[in-house]
Amino acid sequence: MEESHQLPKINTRQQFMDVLEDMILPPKSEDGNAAAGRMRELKSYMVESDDGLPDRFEASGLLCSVRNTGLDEIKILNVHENRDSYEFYLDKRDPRFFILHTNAKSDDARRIVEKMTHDASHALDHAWFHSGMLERVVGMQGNEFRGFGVSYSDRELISEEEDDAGVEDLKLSISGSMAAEMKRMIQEHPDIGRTCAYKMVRVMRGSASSVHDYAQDEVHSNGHFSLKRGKSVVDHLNLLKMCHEAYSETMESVERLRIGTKRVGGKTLFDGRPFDFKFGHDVENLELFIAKMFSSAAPFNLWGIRSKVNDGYFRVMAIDLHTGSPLNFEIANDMMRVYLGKGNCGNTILRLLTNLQMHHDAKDACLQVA
Amino acid sequence: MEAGPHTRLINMFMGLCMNTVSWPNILGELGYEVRLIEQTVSLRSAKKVVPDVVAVSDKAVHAIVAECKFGEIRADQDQRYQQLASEDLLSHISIHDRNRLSHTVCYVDTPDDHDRREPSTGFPFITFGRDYITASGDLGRKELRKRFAEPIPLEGYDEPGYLYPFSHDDEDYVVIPHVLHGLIACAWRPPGKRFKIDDPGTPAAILAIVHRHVELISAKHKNQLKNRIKNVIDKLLKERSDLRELVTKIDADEHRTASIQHLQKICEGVISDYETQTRLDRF
Repeated sequence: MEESHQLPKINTRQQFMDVLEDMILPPKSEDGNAAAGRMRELKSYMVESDDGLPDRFEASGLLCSVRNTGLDEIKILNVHENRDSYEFYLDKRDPRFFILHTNAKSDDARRIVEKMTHDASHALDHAWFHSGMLERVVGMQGNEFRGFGVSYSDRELISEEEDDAGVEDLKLSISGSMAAEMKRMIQEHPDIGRTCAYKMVRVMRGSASSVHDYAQDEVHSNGHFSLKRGKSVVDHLNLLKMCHEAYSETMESVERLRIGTKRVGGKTLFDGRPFDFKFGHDVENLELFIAKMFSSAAPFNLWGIRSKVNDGYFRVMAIDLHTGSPLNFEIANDMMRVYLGKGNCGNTILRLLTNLQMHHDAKDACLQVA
Repeated sequence: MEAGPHTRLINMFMGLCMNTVSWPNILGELGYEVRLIEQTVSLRSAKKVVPDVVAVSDKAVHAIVAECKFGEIRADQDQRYQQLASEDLLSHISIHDRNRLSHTVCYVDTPDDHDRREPSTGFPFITFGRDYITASGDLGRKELRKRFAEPIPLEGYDEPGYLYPFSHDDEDYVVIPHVLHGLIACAWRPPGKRFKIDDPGTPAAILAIVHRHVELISAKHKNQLKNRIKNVIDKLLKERSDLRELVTKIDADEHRTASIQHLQKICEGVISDYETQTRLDRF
């Protein structure tokens, strides 16, 4: 959404929905009357925030400011990048996971959100939907499976190749009636199945009888929702609401297991346990796997001091550079134990799982994450 | 290199209660949870014992008081454990049925010198071998006796090491990696929450990062751990003059990521040097 000077009034949720509906209409023609061109795509991003957003802040070179509307939970986020500016509607109903809505071009919107979440100073992060979570999205009441996308590359974690020649890459996107059958075939093939972590699922809500009565959304593994077909903003928002509830629930269950102490009946008790990750297939070159995972680089953003217990077992004292959380790892060829302390963000575990599936094995699992 | 045997035994015993699939969850399955670590318990006789770990099952209303041993059993300590009454534990642990609480004192050891230790006490043992966990003596509860009746295989399991990362009497090569980790984690925090290398609060901040259950540890032992961390920081700053500058860089430098990547190599080099020194000293 490019910045406009006359902002619509928003005093109720209904008015907010009307504004979002207007955002997907094609731009007006030059005489200002008839709509001309294609519908614009509504994009929504679920962003995790530990500290909330100040009224003004800088992030990765972006200058951002937050303005009020007539509704407490809805704000307008202005973002200045060099000479360009963008506006997002910021839904802060849940301050831990807020939603950014925009109709800006896909590349611009993705770049802005990426920059905001990359900057560690405001502890913002994407929501991370691992493959199991995206399967859950497909199965949610009222959702109809319409397609999926997978993205896999071993370059970030296990490839020993210095050039691109030997890197395993798979990118695939399928929508329509054959999608379910393709999904089944891929998952059943043992070698292909391990490279098929969901990057995205496409679901439809509502009735296809009229374009105003349904929404066909792509839900991405980084918490990005884009309304691809249909004009039903209410269905788009309902999908977001259900995904938000599921993600919050998962996050709560993860954070309940963080290691530390708890107070019960005036006594201090030990609390929490390590997270158990099981690898879909054994890691062949453990030293390389660990060197890459803790190289401080994206997508893992982990730093660590490695210590070799024996050839098949390493310990790593790590820092999640994104949140600043210290955490510890014990890693063998077939499993990984992760110790996350209380006060540290559970998103670290969900980000780790999502990225392991996309760069090691789609069947990698954390036994404590549904 | 591994931590010292005492610290390893504490971790392996705590792991039995952790409900994790990557280490036998024998005590966790029976409802035991870790309730105390290195906590001083006063006896009626005004004497004291400091068990390494106390695990309690609410279901069985029973406590296992674990003393980890790799050296000889001290007769005076053994006698004090004989005087320990279940009521003595009630000042430190909460349980729904206080009057029914029973306990078993148990030595936790390895097979090395086990045959010399066993005859010198009447208490049972849980012994962590390379391939099996075994128990000897009466563990005091039917379900415990049944669970430990056969050796428990350890094949395919890797022992946990971060439940109790280090003790104040662990050697430098064990403590130094944790202190470096804590120092860098403190420097990487968002502005306003950072600790600098010389801040008086830094040892306590590092302790809270490394020992996540620090509140369970007795005040005396906490102070010992803080002092150990402080001594290691002083030693590192004296012997590695580049370290202060490097840690300060990630605190302030705009190229923080590049600096922290560089620090990874430096830290691993420091740890390797101290490990080599330890091996040479032992030789």
